[in-house]
Amino acid sequence: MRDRAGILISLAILLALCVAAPVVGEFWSGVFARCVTWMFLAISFTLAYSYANIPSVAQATVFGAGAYAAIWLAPTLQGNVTLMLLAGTVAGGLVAAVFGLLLLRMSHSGAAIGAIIFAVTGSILGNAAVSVTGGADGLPLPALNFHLLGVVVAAGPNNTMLVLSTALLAILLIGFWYVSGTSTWRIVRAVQQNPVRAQVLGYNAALFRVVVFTVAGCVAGLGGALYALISRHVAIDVVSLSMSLKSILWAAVGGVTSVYGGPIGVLLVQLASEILARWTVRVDLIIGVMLVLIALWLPQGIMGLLKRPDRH
Amino acid sequence: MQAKQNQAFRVEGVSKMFGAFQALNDVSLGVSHGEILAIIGPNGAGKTTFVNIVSGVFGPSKGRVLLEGSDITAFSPQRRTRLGLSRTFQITSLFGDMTVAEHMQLAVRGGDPHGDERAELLEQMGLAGSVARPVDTLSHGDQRILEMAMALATKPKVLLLDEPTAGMSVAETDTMIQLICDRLRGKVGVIVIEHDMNVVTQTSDRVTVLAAGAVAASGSPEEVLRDPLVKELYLGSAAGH
Ligand SMILES: Nc1ncnc2c1ncn2[C@@H]1O[C@H](COP(=O)(O)OP(=O)(O)OP(=O)(O)O)[C@@H](O)[C@H]1O
Ligand SMILES: [Mg+2]
Repeated sequence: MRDRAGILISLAILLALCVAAPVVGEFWSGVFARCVTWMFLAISFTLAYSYANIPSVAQATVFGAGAYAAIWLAPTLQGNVTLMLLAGTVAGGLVAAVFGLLLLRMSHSGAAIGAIIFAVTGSILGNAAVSVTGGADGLPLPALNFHLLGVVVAAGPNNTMLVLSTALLAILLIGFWYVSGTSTWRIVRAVQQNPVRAQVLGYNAALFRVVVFTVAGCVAGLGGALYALISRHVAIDVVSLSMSLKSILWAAVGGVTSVYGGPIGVLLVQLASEILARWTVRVDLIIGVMLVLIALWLPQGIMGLLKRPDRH
Repeated sequence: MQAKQNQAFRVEGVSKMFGAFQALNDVSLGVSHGEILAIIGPNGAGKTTFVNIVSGVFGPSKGRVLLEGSDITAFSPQRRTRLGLSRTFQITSLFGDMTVAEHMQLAVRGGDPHGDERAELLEQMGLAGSVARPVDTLSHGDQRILEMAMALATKPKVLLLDEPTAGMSVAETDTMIQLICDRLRGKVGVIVIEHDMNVVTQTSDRVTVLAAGAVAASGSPEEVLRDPLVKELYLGSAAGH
């Protein structure tokens, strides 16, 4: 079941960001670039929640693992951006695999509480290990000569980084679009809808869920590594529960049943916050009201507007 | 009856506790290759619990499950299916937004790459015209027939049918009886849970009566239905159905 409208809309949004960036100036390019890294996080939540069936309220912890891995390993990897991104992806996948194996042993609501405990524990441990994580002050990205495929690139909230993250996200989305039409993805959907039924057809439901959750972790980890390169700094709040809750918010606004909702959700919420912040101090209040309205009238988020009515 | 060792499937001394409630109490029974055994019994007798234990949805508190002589008690549901033990569900259990064709593709697990076997199965079961339809647009009867087609597509040696005719019209029930007689009798070891005595007498070689989690009677359909204890236990309470 490939969603052609979904992929086209999300690719159009990414293209629009890259085209707009040189026009709107450095500040907004930086905002866009950070938004793109959060899109990875929002998509990661959607994959975990809607396809691994794990209500993971700890996705920012996984994102943070990717960010810290990139920063810790940057000197060893001598500023090789490809390897730093790979390190973030692997770190996210490993943390998610561990979380996933533990969360799968719990009931659905138990897993939500379990994930909150992971997120809080992550923050506490992160703050305790100040020498390793920088605690609340965070760690800066070491000043190195960063290079990507032999070309020197500048880390930071710039257009190069925006284009790099956007290109990676586009590849990811196209890859997902392809996979979503395969017979393997049909099994993922079957497991997600009714794991016992899928097991009785001969499928290892738990294995499928852990694998999807681990892939979701890789996506968050990659986003985290990009975030480290763009922000040139990571602090423990990046891996905090409040950031995870934000990822749920983005996914919900875009539509938590569609991977393509993530980019729309992040842009809507973050741009609205940036713009509102210039007019009022009550940004959170307005965003909160917006969320309640979406929960009431658009439970499937923006992507829900695209669902063909003949199927539902 | 064949020697116990030759049975396709057998459970020995199976008990199940849900907390302090005993849903099954020391149940032993078996079915031979090609034989159809009906299990009847009043609501809450433990029939679905039995199917769940046999298919591995949950484990027994005590006892063993044997498939062709090997102990599969500790095996996962998927491993049992891959070994040739399949089941259907009392409450229709399909993937709402997928089509009939997609369900059959799931059921063959990558076997039947050209789809010939699937097409033939659907043809024989009268679903050939519905392949492209999402299953939630099918009639209840067709949904149950699809459950059966999926179970058959897994190529079972032993098949458990949990009330295959539940909620079906008289005509749909007749189709199901035909399917059981034509496709299963003499080919697959079948345990069919059934409330409809008409279905039981037309399809089954033997009948076991389950009451309050224990085997209350066993024998040919004629013997069992004549048994006064069974009339009292089962038909008395089933009159309300
Ligand atoms: N998961 C469970 N937890 C607790 N009790 C259960 C569970 N499953 C079944 N029971 C109880 O076990 C008893 C047997 O239930 P079961 O579903 O096996 O009956 P049944 O013979 O299939 O009945 P019916 O004819 O209504 O389908 C019932 O009293 C039921 O409430
Ligand atoms: Mg039942």
